[in-house]
Amino acid sequence: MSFELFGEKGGSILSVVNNLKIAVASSIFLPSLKLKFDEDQEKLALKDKKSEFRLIEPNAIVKYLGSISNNNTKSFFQKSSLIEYEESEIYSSLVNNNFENINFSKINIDKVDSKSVEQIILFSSLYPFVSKLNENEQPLWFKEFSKIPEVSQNIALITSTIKVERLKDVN
Amino acid sequence: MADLVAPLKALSLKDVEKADLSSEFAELSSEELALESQWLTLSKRLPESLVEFNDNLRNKTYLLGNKASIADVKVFVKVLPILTGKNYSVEELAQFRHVFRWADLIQNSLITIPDDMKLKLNYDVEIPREVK
Repeated sequence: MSFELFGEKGGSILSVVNNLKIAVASSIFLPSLKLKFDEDQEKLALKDKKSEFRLIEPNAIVKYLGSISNNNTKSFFQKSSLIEYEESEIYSSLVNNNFENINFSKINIDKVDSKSVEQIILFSSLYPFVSKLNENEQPLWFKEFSKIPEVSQNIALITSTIKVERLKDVN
Repeated sequence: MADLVAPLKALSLKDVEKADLSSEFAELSSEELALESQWLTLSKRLPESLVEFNDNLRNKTYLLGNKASIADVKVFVKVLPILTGKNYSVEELAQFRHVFRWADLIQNSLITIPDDMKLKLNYDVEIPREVK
């Protein structure tokens, strides 16, 4: 493999989410690929050293790592209503630091699956919000997913690397 | 290439949004599917993501490389309303020169658009050379 994976620096909640997505995906799908934080690389990216192939969007990176770890299976790129929801409503909540509009009834996941790109993407996006809830308020799926070793290790790595700048609370 | 482009010429912008265009283009590899996924996601974040689109198109004819794909059509539909209806300064044209070039190519090759909805570019404007 000739890939390099760079995390994004910066102190936003979105930086935590984006780094968590690609860190968990690389640990699960391609453990030899380690997330790096480089002085010369400010933005998140997956780069192939042997070609010009480069991805800069975290959900696309998660899907691609899933696909190449499974003989280039194309099902990882299928349309998903959960990812659509993540890319619209949850993304907007993260950008605006306002999680009031997140509708958990739309996130219906019965069984924890560490190799599901949907679950990696959703868990990472919900992490800044749900991790602050009391344990009895957290969805069961979220609590179980956070116990997967590749997930818990990367939560510790990312939260110790990215210091989130304090934002004004939205009234 | 002409075979791939011909069916799309009959489609209006509304048809493009509704139609299943996957059969009109060559099947994509995993790398191309990842790039398609990336650009479709970033097209939901316009106009902020125009910078990323412009950087990508700096050394590519189409979004995924040197061949047209369904991603060009889907993203164009979202980019067109962002680009039209404005008088751009030379600085703005220079900043997003590759997006303008790409959009002009798509509206003149892959999709038929009514004249009043087209992105209108003044080809005589002298844009300063790009500093790479």
